[in-house]
Order: sequence, then structure tokens, then C-alpha cells
Amino acid sequence: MAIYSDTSNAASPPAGAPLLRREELEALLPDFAFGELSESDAARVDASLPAFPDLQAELTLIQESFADIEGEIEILERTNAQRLRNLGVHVQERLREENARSKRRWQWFRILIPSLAAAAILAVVVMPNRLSDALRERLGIAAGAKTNETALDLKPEEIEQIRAIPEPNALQSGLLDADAGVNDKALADAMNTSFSTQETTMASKMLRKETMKALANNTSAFHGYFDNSADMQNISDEDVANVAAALTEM
Amino acid sequence: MSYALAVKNDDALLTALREATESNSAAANEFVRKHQKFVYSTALRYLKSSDDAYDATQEVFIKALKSIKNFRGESSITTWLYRITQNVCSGMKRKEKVRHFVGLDVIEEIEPDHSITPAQATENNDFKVRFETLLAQLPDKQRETFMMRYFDELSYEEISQTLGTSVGGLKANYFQAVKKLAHLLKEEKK
Repeated sequence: MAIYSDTSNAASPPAGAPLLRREELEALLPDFAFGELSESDAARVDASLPAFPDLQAELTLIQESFADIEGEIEILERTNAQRLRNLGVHVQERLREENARSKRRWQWFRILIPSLAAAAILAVVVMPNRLSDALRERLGIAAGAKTNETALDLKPEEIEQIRAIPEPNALQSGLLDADAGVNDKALADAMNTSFSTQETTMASKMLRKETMKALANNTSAFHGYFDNSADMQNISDEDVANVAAALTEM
Repeated sequence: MSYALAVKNDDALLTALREATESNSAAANEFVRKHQKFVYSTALRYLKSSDDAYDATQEVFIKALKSIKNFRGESSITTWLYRITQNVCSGMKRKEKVRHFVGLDVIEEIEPDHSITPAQATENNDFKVRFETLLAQLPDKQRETFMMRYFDELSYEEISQTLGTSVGGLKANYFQAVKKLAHLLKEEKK
């Protein structure tokens, strides 16, 4: 913005244009002082000023005071402009760096996600077997007894079959509760109860289902850990140890 | 096609940026050049340090360019950038407080500006401090209006959108600010 403008050569106001009221004149005065008004507005200000000698005096003071610092303000603006001359280049460099970092992170995930999936599949295949072995042991079923190892989800009719088992039946009341997880009391009670082969198969399936849920929760925690890691390229030994620990827990 | 030559207004610039790929850096450069003065001076008012203001300005443009595709044009670009600048500066101030608290402050290195003589630089720095002292005596709204109109050369409509004040109110604020500064400069001269 021009610091000072000689307004003495302002054009004549449009014929018939009314003179400005005091508050209108005040609103236009700074822009008039700095030469920012259109010719017609400047002419109206010029024509209206004689009616307000105090505003005329203010205008003079504004123009003189700001003219005194015009040179210093110009240097200040030049300094700022100088400082900003390479801003666009710096912004683009940083954008490129951030894009590259983001790509590296994705590359990591491209390795990590299949690894996690493989670990999850391994856990799904191995752990339910272990759990079903433990269950068989606790329920006193002979090792090698045939169970449905591959079914991971209960079908609605299977759930109905479990529900249909006559009371009192601790497995039914305990394991069908969505929040119950593996219910120790239910299992303890179950140990004192005789079950049919169908009942034990159902119980085994329920346990595997709970294991799947626990695994899914661990996987989320595992992802969360990496989301918080600042730079995927610089994973420390400690990070690796944590990952190993998380995988072991899974 | 050179965007630097072709792009004249914010709408055209936004279209160019939305279609932009990494290779289209000219549109981004134009965008930065067009708004850098406003963003930098706003950041400088918040942070009071030219180095911090420069860092903040970079951060603002990085955020803006990353999210430009989501900019719906519900406010003007100036208003949008002003909000981003406020957020970035507030974040930097919070970090600065923490840094100061844990004693990690470092001595600021000032890059010499070879286009200005040492005498000018000293004089200029003196003036900067003096003028900031005068500005500090204005009420917040008047100071912000003065800076946006006088230094950033924004229109009253742009300032109105950014500060949420009517154009009439802004003109009154600007008049009061200019009048008060003129009196303060006169007193200082005595």
C-alpha cells in the first residue's frame, strides 16, 4: 500500500453528488490519505472536508506521520519479501519429502500386512487345535477323538442346538453369553457334567470362536502400535522386540 | 502452459491445484506466491519471531496444498488460510511453551540479508521494534484490521470474512487505528 499520496489533484466530485456525512468521511479518510480511493470517492472526500476542519487536521497529521516512516516501512517490506523469495521452493521440497515418506510407509505396510495375515492364519490354525486339545483333556475326551476342526463359525442351527440342551447346563449359559469369553466357572461346572459328543464339539467350536475374537483384538493393537511409529524406516531393535512379543501373544 | 502467467484469480488457481499432480508445481508455486505475504505477516503477528513465522508459513502452505482438494469454497481462500495459520501458530506456541519449560531453547541464528546494508538492517530492526511497540498500544481488533488493510493490502470484504466484522465496523476500526498511530508517531518524534 502506498504510504502517502498527494491528494491535492483529486478530480471534481460528480455533479450533484451529496457531500459526505462525518462518519462516512471518517470511514474513507485513511484510504484517502494513502491514495487508495477511486477518483470519484477521492473527489467527494475532497469536497466534503472543508465542512470538518478537525478531520482536515487529522488528515494532515496522518499524511505527515506516515510519510515520515515510509522509507522504513519499505525496507521492512523488502526484508520480508527477501525472506520469502524461496518459500515456494521450500514448500515444494517439503511436500516431496513428505510424499516420499508416506510412500515408504506404504511399502512397509505392503510387507507387514501379508506377514500379519500369515501370522493370523497360523494362529487360527494352530491355537484352536491347542485349545481344543486342552479342552478335550479337561473334559476327559480321548486324544484323537474326531471334532470338526475346520468350522470357525457356528451356524444358526448349531446355536439353536446348543440352546436346546436341557438345563442345568453350564456350558450353554456361560459360553453363549456374548461377553463371557472363556468362562472358567462354566468350564469347572462342565467338568462335573456328562456331555454327549455333539455337546463337546459345540463347546470346542465356541472356544475357537472366542480365540478368533481375541486374535482380532490383538491384531488391532498391533496395527495401532505401528500407526504411532514416527518413521517406519527407522524401526529400532526395541520395536522389533515389541513386534516379536506381540506376535508371541497372538 | 505456464500457470504463473495464466492464473489470474483464486478460482482458476484452485482448479489448477485440484487437477495438479506432482509435476504441476507451477500452480502450487503461484498459489504460495500469491498468498505468502498475508500468511507470513499473520504468523509474524502471532509468533513475534521471523524464523518461527517462516517455519509456520511453510507449514501452513503444506497443510493447505495437501487439503486443497477438500476446500469447498464456503469461505474465501484468505479466510481459510487465516484459520490454518491460526491453528499452526497456536500449535507452535504450545510446543514453544513445552520447549521453554524443559529448557530446550536455542539461540536463534539470523540469516544475513545481503540486499540491505548493515546500517540499514540495524536501523530497520530499531524501527521494527519501535513500530511494534506502537502497534501493541492499539486494541486487538484495530491492530488486526490495520495490519490486514495497510500491510497485507486485503480488501474490506476479505477482512470482513476473515475477522467476522462488518465492513462498516472495519472502516471505523481502520480510521481509529490510523488516527491513533499518527498521534503516537507524532509524540514519538517530539
